[in-house]
Amino acid sequence: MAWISKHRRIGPVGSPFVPNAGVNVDALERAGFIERVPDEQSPQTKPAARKVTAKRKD
Amino acid sequence: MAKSFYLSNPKVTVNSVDLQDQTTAATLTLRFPPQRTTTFGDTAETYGAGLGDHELTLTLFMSYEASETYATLKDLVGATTTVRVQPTSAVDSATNPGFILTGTYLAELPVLNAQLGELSSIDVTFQGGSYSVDVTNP
Repeated sequence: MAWISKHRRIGPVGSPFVPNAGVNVDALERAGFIERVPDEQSPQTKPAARKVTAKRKD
Repeated sequence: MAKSFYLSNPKVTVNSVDLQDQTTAATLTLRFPPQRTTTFGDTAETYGAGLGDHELTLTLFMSYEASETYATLKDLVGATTTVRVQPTSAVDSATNPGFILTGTYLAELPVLNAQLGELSSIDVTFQGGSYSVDVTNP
């Protein structure tokens, strides 16, 4: 499971939030600081866009 | 002559939430209760360190706005969390260490402390937890 910041107090809004040991993510979510997102939507885990290079025409 | 200036402006985070702009006082105390180790034949009392029993006390302005003091602390009462204090807002370094209590317990939260004509503020105390110091620039 991944989280993103919803408030500047825990990091730039929309940035991935990586909780340190001991951080109560449920409390953060209830208070509206972070939002739970599926792993595949997390900016942190999203694979980088594939670089497409045009083939050179001879 | 060596000089040291320290402007009291620490960074404070509770459960990863930055509460610096609500905090007016912070005291983190390391404590190892003494355990008596005196034995027969000793001519004076001797002591060893007991289990670490550290404590962080914060004085915070009370605010019930979203993402402020009350919202941050209300779900942490009776639970453990992580708190971090640092001398300044600069990055972690040997001269600006981040002091961390992991798994520290918040036993009580004054939900209202109001006095006519005064800014409302509260004291909260986090007890126990393991202590560490972060001096590494992330």
